[in-house]
Formats: sequence, structure tokens, C-alpha cells
Amino acid sequence: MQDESIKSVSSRPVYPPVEININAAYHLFITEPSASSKVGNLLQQTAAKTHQLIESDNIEELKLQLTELIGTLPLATSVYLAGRETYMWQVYAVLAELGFIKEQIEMLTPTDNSRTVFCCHCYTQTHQVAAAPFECEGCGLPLTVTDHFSKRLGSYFGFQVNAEAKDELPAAEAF
Amino acid sequence: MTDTFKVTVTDIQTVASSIKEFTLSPVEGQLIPFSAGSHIVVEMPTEEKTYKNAYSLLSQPDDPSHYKIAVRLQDNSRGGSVYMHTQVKVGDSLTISAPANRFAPLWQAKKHILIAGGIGITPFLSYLPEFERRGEDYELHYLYRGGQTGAYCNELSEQLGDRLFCYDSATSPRCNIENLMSQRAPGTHFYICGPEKLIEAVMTTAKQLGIAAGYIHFEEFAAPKPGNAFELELKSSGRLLNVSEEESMLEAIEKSGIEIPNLCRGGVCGQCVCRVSQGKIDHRDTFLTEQERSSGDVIMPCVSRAAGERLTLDI
Repeated sequence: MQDESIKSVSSRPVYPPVEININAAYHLFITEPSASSKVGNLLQQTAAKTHQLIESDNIEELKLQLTELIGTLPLATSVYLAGRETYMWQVYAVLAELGFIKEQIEMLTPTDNSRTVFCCHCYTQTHQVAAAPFECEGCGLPLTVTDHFSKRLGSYFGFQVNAEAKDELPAAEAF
Repeated sequence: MTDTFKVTVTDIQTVASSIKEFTLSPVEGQLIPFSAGSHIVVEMPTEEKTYKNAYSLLSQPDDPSHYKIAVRLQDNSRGGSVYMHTQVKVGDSLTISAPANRFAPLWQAKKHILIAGGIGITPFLSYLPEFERRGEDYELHYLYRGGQTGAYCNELSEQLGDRLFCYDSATSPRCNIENLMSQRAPGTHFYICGPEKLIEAVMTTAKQLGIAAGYIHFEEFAAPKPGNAFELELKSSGRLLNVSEEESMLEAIEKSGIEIPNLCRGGVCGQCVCRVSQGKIDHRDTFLTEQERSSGDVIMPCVSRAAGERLTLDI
């Protein structure tokens, strides 16, 4: 009797416009250094509230920094992320590990259309892929890229294009 | 349909003036282990109808030799708790469902704050051994009315020490929900089991403090409330059923011999969802989304009712 209408099979995240959560007790901004201007407007709105901006593109360092910081943050903290899609999801994973929940984490529109792609043949992740098919950095196979997105890895699922007729490679198309 | 099996009542203890604890042992073999927060549905056959009430399991989740449930004699009982309190004797056999869980702890949480109101302590009793085993960080806040609903206080205090906070409305100050919820670190989750008023108080405080709703988890007492009587038409067969004031739609359908998959019987799990082809709905569940509610074409027959005199189900 369960109604199983599946509206969409795509797991590709969508990024609606981000607004400041006025109820939050603390506002934490984490961005790639090149993307810090993206949160300028939001930062301005929180000028009178307790907030902090962290600019870092080193996930390992960021992890240490956040682990130390978390003891001082209230439960009612809102986090805003800006940068490439894969970067935001990597930070998301670090935050989730520290106990943050989805509702507390807002992501701005990714700064470019590039994708990180997970190869289902050799498990390598190729970064900054701008068009598909492309050559996997791990096994060299030409991969097509799906809209299947892993939030844990921040990667899209890729598999060998035209495996049945390897010589017929379609022209690459930008995302 | 979910599996049912027979158990024997091997012990009945009065643990507070309005609460009895029942020990249920398997008629043969062993029971199945369950996860922390699980409940079973107990069938209570009476002459007029068979009551089916969900009760949290409060015994050790990994002990298959018996289950324990605690039943509070409800002020406005529809019959279930009266039946358990007055009809059931040691040695009787009962039919129960397999355990199901709509209220499991979140193991990603960094700290668990349990808030129990009276008989709402029951699901948390199965959390505790599991928390100890895993070395979880937790607190139990127990609100009750002295003598009447404050079962298990002494043994809990022995077991939990300073993790237990008791609030006896007869003798001690009221629990200050705001103090309880503020000054918490990210990753702290709150679980509430108790009356609606308590759940609302926690939700309101969370909102005021800016705490995300995803940190709040609750299990409402699962009991359909009575309403107006109405006529129910089943589209496929054209059958007409009468749903009385004291009866849920699901019960009326079951009485007519039709089985609908169901688990919680309290508007939470979503198993018994049915399509509605005609009639206005009085939605009383916590499962359907706002969109589904306003569409007017789905209903949870375990708790929801017709808003008018007639409803047609597409079954």
C-alpha cells in the first residue's frame, strides 16, 4: 500500500540561495581562499553577531582547527560554506564527523562547474574535471560522468564510455 | 502482515501506583533480540473488539529469554490499559508482534540528552544498557508525578549516579527546559518521550535558542484519539463500514476481515498509508508531509479520521 513514486533518480545536489539563519547563536563561515568574497554579503549581515571567517583549502589543517574550535561553539551554530562543490562537501564531511547536522550547514552556489569524478573501475578520484568524457587519472579509461553524487566523497560517479564499442568516442561536452 | 507470536506472562509487578510491569516469556524457544528503543504491539481480545496497543520494550535488548513492558493505567483509556491492568494474570498467554523500532538512538551523536515524562521512561530503559556498552556520553532527565508515575527511580539512581536528574512534581522544583538545553556543544541530541505538552515545550525552547530541529527526536504516545463516527466506503469492493466514535479506521477495517500492513498504529511509521478517492480528511498523524496532507488524497487510517460523514478509500 506504500506509494512509491520516485520523482527523480538524480542525486545531484541543488544549491538554493543562502540566507543568514537569524535564530543561530553563532555564524561560522568556511571558504576556499579564492571564494571568500562570495560570503561578503552574508558576513556583513552578521557583523553585529558573533561570527568567524575561516579561509583554508587544506582539509587536513582545517580538520585540526575545527576540532579545537568546536569545544567553544554553541549547539545553535550555523555554518556557511563557499568554494568548489567538492571542497564544500569535503568540509561538510569533516563537520558531520564532529557532530554537526545537515540543517546547520549551508552551501553557496559552487564557484565553478568542475566536478570531482570517482572512477568505478579503479576507484581513483580525478579532480577539476570540466567536460566528459575525460581520461581517468588512475586507469586512463575514457569515462562518462553521471549525475550520481556521493556526498561522502564529494564526487560524481564515472564509468567507461561506450565500453561495447571502444573506438567510438563521443565528443567531450562541458558540464 | 507482520509476524506475531505467543508469549506467556510470567511476572507482573506494580512499579508505581498507576504502572504495572509485565514480564513476557516465550511459549517455546527464544524471543528475538531487539534494538534500543523498540516496541511491540500487544493484542488484547475482548468481546467487543481486539485492542492492539504498542508498548516500548524495557528489558535488555540482547536478552532473548524474556521481554518486559510497562503499562500505565490511562485516565481516558480506550480499553487497552484497563485490559492489561485488570484482565491479564500471571500464566496468561498473549499474542505480540515482532519488535519494531521508530525511536532508535542516533549513534553519530556526540552526546545524548534523554528527557522522559512519566511512563515515557520506558523506551529509554532499553537505551541505557546499550549506551553503557558503547561508552556513550548521556544524561537522563526524568520528570514524573511523585508516587504515581515515578517508577524505576531508585534503581536508575543506583545505576546512573550523576547522569540521572529527577524532577518529582510533588516535591522538587520543575525542570527548567531552557537551562537544560542551553550551553550544549554541537553534536548534542535531545530525545523526548512523554506527553505532547513536554514535547512542545522542548520544541519551542529549541526554536528560541536557535537549535536546529534535527537535534530533537521524540516518540509520542501512540494511541488514536476518538472522534466523530463516520461511514467508510471501500472503493474496490463497494463495501460500507461504520467507524464508531471510539474506534480507529484501521480497527474498523481489520474488524471487517481486511488486513492492511501496519506497524506503529500511532501515525508515525507510514506503513498503513491508504489512498483516498473521496471525502475530507482530518489528518492526525505525524508521518505525511504538508504537501501530502493538503493534496487530500492520502491518509494514515491508524489515527486519522473523516472530517465529514463519509470517506471513500481506494482499497
